Amino acid sequence: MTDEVEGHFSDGRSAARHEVTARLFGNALELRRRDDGSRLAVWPGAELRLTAPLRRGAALRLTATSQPEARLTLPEAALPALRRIAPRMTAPPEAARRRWVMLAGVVAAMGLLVGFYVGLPLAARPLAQFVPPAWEARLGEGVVPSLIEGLGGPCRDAAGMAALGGLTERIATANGLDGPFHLHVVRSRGVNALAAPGGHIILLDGLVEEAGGPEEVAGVLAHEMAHIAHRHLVQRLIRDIGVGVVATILVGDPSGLLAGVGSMLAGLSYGRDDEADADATGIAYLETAGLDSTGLAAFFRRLEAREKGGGLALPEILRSHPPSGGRAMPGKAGAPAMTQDEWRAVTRMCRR
Amino acid sequence: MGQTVFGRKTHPIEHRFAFTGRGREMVGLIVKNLVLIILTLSIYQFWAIANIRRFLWRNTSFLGDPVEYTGTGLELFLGVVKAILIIILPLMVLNIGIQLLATSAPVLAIVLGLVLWLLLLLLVPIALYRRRRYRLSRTLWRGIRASLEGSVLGYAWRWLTLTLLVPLTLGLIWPLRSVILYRFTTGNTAFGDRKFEFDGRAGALFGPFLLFVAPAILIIGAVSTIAAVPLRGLQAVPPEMAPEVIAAAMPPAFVGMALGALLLWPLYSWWRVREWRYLLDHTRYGGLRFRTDVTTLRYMLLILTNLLLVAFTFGLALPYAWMRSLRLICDTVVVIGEPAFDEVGQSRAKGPRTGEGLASVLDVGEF
Repeated sequence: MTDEVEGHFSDGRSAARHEVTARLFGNALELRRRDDGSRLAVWPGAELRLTAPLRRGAALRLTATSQPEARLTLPEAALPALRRIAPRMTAPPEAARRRWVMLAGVVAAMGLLVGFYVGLPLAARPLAQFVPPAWEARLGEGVVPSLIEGLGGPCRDAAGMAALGGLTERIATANGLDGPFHLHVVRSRGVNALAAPGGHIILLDGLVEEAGGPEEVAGVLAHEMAHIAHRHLVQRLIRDIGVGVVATILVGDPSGLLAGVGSMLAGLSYGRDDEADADATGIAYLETAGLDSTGLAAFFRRLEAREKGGGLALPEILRSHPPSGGRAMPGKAGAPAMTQDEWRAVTRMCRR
Repeated sequence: MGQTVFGRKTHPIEHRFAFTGRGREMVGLIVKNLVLIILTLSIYQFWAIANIRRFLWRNTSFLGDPVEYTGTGLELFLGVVKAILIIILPLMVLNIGIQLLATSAPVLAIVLGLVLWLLLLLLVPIALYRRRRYRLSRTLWRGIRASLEGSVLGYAWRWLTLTLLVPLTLGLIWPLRSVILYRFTTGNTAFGDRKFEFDGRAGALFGPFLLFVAPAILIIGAVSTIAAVPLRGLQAVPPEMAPEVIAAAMPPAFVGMALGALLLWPLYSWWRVREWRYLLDHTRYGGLRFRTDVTTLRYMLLILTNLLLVAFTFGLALPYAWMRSLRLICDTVVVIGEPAFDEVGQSRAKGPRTGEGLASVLDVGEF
């Protein structure tokens, strides 16, 4: 800018374009209309900002912090002169100040998500206490009947149910567990047991057949009761919803969230930590009740040995209950879980 | 120096948009965005979108002045978080409630399920309209903001009703749907303190629509009849032979469908161009009118090349495809008349504070 340059200007109040002459005026840029010479603006150099990054061969697009909606266009040749009064202006808006804002935004967003991702599983346990048991019970009512039908239907033998019910009652009373616990035995060859929301415990008849004695069934039963007493399922739902929220933000796909509990309950499986917790707690329950607590470890040992021996395909319960430290807990000897007659009734529950 | 107003020398009353973005710059931007998206575990995607838009906007100019995009990635990110908290989570709770009721009150569950489905469908136009409002509020030219007025629900119920009517009227309502929705959005779109207007009628589009639909039905009918010929023998053969008959019918059926699509595509493209031309022809802004010089062939070539571009880069070149579309629009749209921009004042609408979260979550399509 030897003396003055021609450009054009819009004042931000209307979309009119004014042909202007720009010249340096001390440390400021003075803009005058070319037609009548009237002064349109005086912009101090410190207030000048670029609205588009510099590009070779392209005109300069400028604004001023005092008049942020006004726009000035000057030829590229004016840049050296402008730099004299506004050395910092060379940074386009995306760079410099806004780059820090953007970086802070990205870091904050990542921190938020990572915090959510890491913090939610930790927060799930205390949060689960706030979910009313009545909700969990409704959830169970909605899911359990169809689950039982889907697995093969219930076995309703009175003597067998009484034996298992008595055992559940003994464990619950001795440990001060409020429950309620609802026990179901299902006609299915699968070797598995499930804890469903609302205190429902579903024993598959295949597991009873596979078990070497009442202590082993008692071990599995106490394990499932621990899942329920510690509300592992509610915790898992909270975790899954949280993960769904994060996934929706990252991937932009809400289908995981909207699929809802149906798919979440489909597996009814728990994490490794929950299984270890249920193993240890279940054994503790049996010990408190004065019952023999060696059954769970014995049951898993036998299944694993048989699987390795090729006698049995990997039973469901080994797949859904990952091996954990708790499995190594041998437990202690104690009173038998039920009488011979009761055990016979339980093993015959689904025979008719 | 002095910048002359574009176009004035060649034709006294026609002005065109200019697009100055270079492919090389766009590729650089895509690569930079990709690296940052990977490094930030995809959180940068919002800032990446803002970068792309800033590039596209500022390279579009009219009368020598560029359009500016002032939206930020943070606004987009907060928009998504807001949409999930305010809309998606409550819907999820409703969905859980429906599943809980499924066994105890099946009728109520079905009714609620229908309500949920309608709500989800209603979210699409809400997302579309809110996204347009956000984008326009972040679009400047000569320092003057654009804006979108009108109620989101007013748009949403029109969209929902007209969309549900499409299958009920065997598609015949389509021109009416286009015109009503275009009238609503265009009539509520403003640049500065002045709104756009639309004076078209659906009746004028029915003729071209029938010219597209009638041959389309004939083609679909012919293709399915011919493809079904080998299946006629199905009744004559014993049931255990049926899979073989069906298998034999498959290749000719696929060839037929491919041929049908090849015939339908130009027909459909012709209709889309015709519709777009009509809508633009009847759009007004102050004393300005609009026109597009786009031809069916040019439109088809753009779609085809963009599809190939995106497919062969596994979607990475999507912003490049947007740029090509924008360039075609700038090349073909003509503004007719002498603009009186002196009379256009600054917009009083401030625009939404966060951006288009719902549209990003629902993925209603970009651009």
